[in-house]
Amino acid sequence: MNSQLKPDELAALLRQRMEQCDRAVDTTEFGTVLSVGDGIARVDGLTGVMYNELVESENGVAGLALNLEEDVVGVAILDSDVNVREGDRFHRTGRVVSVPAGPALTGRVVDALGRPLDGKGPLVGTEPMPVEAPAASIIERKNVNTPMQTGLVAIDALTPIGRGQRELIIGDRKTGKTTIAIDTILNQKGSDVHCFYVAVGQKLSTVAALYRQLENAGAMAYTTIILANASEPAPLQYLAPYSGCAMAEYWMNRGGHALVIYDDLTKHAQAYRQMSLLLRRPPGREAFPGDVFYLHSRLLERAAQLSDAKGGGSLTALPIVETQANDISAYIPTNVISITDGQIFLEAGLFHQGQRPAINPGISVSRVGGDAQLKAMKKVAGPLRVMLAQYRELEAFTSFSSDLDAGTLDQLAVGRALMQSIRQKPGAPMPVSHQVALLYAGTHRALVGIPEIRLQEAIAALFNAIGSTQTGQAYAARFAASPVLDDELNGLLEKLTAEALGPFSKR
Amino acid sequence: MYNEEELARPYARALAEAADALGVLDRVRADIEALALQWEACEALRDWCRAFRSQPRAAHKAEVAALWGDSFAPQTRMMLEALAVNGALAVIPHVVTAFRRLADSRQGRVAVSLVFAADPAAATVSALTERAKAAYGPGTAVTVTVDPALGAGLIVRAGNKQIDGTLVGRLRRLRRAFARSE
Ligand SMILES: Nc1ncnc2c1ncn2[C@@H]1O[C@H](COP(=O)(O)OP(=O)(O)OP(=O)(O)O)[C@@H](O)[C@H]1O
Ligand SMILES: [Mg+2]
Repeated sequence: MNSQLKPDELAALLRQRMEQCDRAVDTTEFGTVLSVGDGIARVDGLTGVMYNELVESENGVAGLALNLEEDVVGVAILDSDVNVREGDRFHRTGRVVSVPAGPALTGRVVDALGRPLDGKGPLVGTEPMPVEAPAASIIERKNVNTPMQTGLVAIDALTPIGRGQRELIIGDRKTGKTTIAIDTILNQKGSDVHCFYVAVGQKLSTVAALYRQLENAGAMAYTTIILANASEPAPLQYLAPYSGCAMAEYWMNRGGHALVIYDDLTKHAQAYRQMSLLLRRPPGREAFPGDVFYLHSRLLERAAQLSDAKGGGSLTALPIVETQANDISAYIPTNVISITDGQIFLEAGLFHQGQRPAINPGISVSRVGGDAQLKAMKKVAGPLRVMLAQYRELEAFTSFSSDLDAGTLDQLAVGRALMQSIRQKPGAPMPVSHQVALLYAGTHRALVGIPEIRLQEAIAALFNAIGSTQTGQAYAARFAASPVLDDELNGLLEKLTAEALGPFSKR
Repeated sequence: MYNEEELARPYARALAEAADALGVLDRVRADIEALALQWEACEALRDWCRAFRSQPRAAHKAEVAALWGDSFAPQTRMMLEALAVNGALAVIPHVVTAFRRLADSRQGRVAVSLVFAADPAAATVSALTERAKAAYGPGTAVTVTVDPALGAGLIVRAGNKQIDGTLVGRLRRLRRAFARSE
């Protein structure tokens, strides 16, 4: 980036900067550090400071003014606190914390203040965006109307997500939460969606592996990683989601589209709890401070599908929450569930049975995304939900009974095949046309006769046919032209599934 | 988990508020300055106060009375007794610092400091001192220091306000403006 700046542009930039700040005398208000520890400084004298205002020490350490008491201000230090000592002065800046945003961020790994962590040089030509910003009002929004395809058939069919939506991914540890988010990013390849992955409180090695995965898949070409790992001071972990959101808003405000993943808000809330205890805020339920609800509501409210008058941009949010032993009634899960437009619930039990992604279709919902779903998808997904629900009921029931009639056995077989068919490996997003063909096959009993061990092979053959056989190509062309499940498309799907799956059937 | 400064603050605040309300802030301030001098001068006093930390006992209230007796205003004595009862006499120096700040702001006192990059002309210092006294009252304390690291120019601090007219400050602002635009 740096090398692309022409000398005359550089000169102009320099001149502009000099003019902006070349006041010979600078008047500021300051406070004196009374004590410092665990990333929090208690500062005396910052009388006029605003909540969330950026303050700076004389040796350049940045801080966030948080607790405004009568005569002492709590400052969260956004660097290592070893550079702050008792008696140091913090000066007001009059600005709230902002982060750099714009195209220069794409492909980069930055910290919660937007400082590069990837050694790829400085960010040039960015625009500052405030980390805290008001959410779009009702009149500035319109209904969600465009799908945000995850490429995961189970989600796109059962809990479809629309651009501008907030869909929670929730489950115990190691149930595939991050994988769903990453697959969704991978599936945005070739689209106009800018992706932001905010890693809060994770191990550096985990995020490094994730970066390599995105890089190898060519997904860093449209993705930014905002990293505040577990060893960073709590204030930076607290700030990171807001920073990622601000960077995404840059695109939404320009009529563009952004997807932000917050991985995860449980660790975010823990960082905030730690900070709040240090700031001597009275702890409440589960020792979280009273305003922890507002912590996440003000973040997630910034997701939006803007109205046409506002440019029609969108910001989709996929927050992740980790549960303990599937307990969604804990404080943070309850809060975030109530803020979002639905949740994808992952279950350790399913995960260990090999049902991956381990989505529990019974309690996973998407309250607004259905409106954005493609017509054909909606049509095939409708029966799927019902059939899966029946299957779950039957399955529970049959575990108590040994002699089952033929009808029940048949229903079980159909359901089992359906559950099998919506299993999906990580890193293999599925185009919608494939998803529709697969679900058509599943809900029209075309998968029932196939032995379980050959099912994945059969599905692969079905997808292969879409690109190679005459019927498959006709289907693909017709789907691309008009994804409506009318008689013509139905006919093509029937023929396609019969041709491609027939050879695998026992019967 | 609470540090001494935090522990001391409520005592200092209560004392400043009470003294102000009763109109004896000057008297109490004199007590506190005397206490600061005693603390500074007397090692035995420091040791004695620190020993309280781990053994709070109501009986110590009497010892405090015996030690400081009538020399202090009743408000100051009550504050010391409260510290003793809570085994917190060791934080006296923090009470002193916090009290000074609180009393200053209640009495509208502003400390002014002038930091020059190079030895200033006597006329400059006296002119600035006059200006400070005119602005903040004749009792305003003005301190003058020299810090060659500032390059050139002068910093004026009055209360919580700072006016930075130094070369170093100007360069720092420039550097930050660039850092922000990156
Ligand atoms: N659909 C899938 N098929 C096969 N393996 C999967 C699938 N999804 C996830 N996994 C594997 O399961 C493991 C855990 O997945 P992941 O890291 O996404 O879970 P997580 O819930 O985010 O875990 P954590 O609690 O550590 O954040 C990974 O090794 C991943 O490759
Ligand atoms: Mg994870």
